[in-house]
Amino acid sequence: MWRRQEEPKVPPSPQNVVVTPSAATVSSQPSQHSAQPNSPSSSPSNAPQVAPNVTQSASVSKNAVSIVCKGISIRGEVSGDEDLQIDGELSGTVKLAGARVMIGPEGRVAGNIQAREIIVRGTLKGNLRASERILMGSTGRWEGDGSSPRLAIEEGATVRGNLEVAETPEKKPAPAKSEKPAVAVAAPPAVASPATNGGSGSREASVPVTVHAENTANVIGGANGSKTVPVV
Amino acid sequence: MSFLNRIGLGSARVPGTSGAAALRAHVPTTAITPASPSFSPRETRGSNSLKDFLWHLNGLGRGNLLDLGPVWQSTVSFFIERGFKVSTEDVLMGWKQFSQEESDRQRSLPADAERITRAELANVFLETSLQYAPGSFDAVLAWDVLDYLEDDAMKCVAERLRSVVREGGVILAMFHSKRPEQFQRYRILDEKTLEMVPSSSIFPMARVFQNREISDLFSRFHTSKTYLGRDQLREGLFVK
Repeated sequence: MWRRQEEPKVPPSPQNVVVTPSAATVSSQPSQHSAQPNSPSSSPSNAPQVAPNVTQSASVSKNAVSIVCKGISIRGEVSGDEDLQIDGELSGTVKLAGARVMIGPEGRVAGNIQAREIIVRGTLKGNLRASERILMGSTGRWEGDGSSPRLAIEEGATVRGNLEVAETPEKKPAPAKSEKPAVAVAAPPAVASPATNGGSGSREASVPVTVHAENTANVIGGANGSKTVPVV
Repeated sequence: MSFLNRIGLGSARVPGTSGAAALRAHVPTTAITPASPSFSPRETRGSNSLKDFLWHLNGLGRGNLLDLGPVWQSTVSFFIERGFKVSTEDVLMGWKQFSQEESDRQRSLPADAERITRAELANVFLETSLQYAPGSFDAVLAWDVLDYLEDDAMKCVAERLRSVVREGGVILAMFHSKRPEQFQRYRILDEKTLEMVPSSSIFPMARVFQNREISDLFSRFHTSKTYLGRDQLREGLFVK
């Protein structure tokens, strides 16, 4: 069931086609993409907390979730600061810097997503940038690049792309005092040198050499195989 | 009760459990799997080639790694924690989907239409897969890939792998010296341990590589090392 608001002249755009499960509200204000109540008396400050699965058109709150239902297709840019659940199709950019974006198992997204937390349980083709974390659900299929401080992948997820851990954004240096930090830049943890190579550190010796460790018993047993043969 | 049993190291079994199951119960399956919905203990395997592989990457800093298997939390975390940027692309699954779609498409063509050969198909596949600039990666995890790809696709993929690895870069690949009972995937648990995850077969095994064939496949690499385990799994390490 669709309910149109008072201003029918506004052309439909991605920002004003936001659907909640029961109310199916169409917002006509492009800057406010989320499910807006029709009653003017409610305000964001005194709005009740809304559960993640919104079942009625409620007042705007930080925890409100806008849902693009199954069967709905949106093209264009989505921006704002409320959580968004996508069970339909969305083609375009999603920018919800402080919010969570969840692509449901039936959801399909083609475009880049920027949010605090991104959960992918459907199909996604695009780049992800999360300020907090990315979660790939077991039913998720993702093709693109991702950057986030935390990355969680459930078994069965499909990812084709580059995964990178981003720095957490809240780390800002305090330049007021001239005190030196106790610890300088932490170097990336080194990879332990295996015993098979003797720890000689001679990795620059890239001389053509073929060494085969044939029938060297079970690898499980320990340092079998062959050592790198230095060739002059 | 034997002395070993009395000190807790014996092989006393709980009725109804096999010795292998009792042994696996003591093996930590994984350290980093916060998002895994369900976990059953699986077979683990010590890997000298993995140790060697990591040694080659030692001190690299922010390297680039390409994993040709399915994406696993533990493997991704393992390398990301070491400062790597990880790219994943399940080549076997990609090839399967691509060849299936192409087969369906060709079936719908009229009988007198020109058909694409498997060699051409492999080239077309690589126009959309493994699309990375030459020398993009410091390391590649090839796992059970080359054994399972048909000839034309295998040659194309091997050639592409040679291209995307930088000079001094390293490839870790697995080869079966005899046909395995079950297709399996691999994930890294720690610096010397792999977990073998039984999986439904994507393709039947295409070939058993002889040692010379493996060497020829990576003949342009500076170093080629293989480790053969008792289970007839040959781990290959190739440094470009």
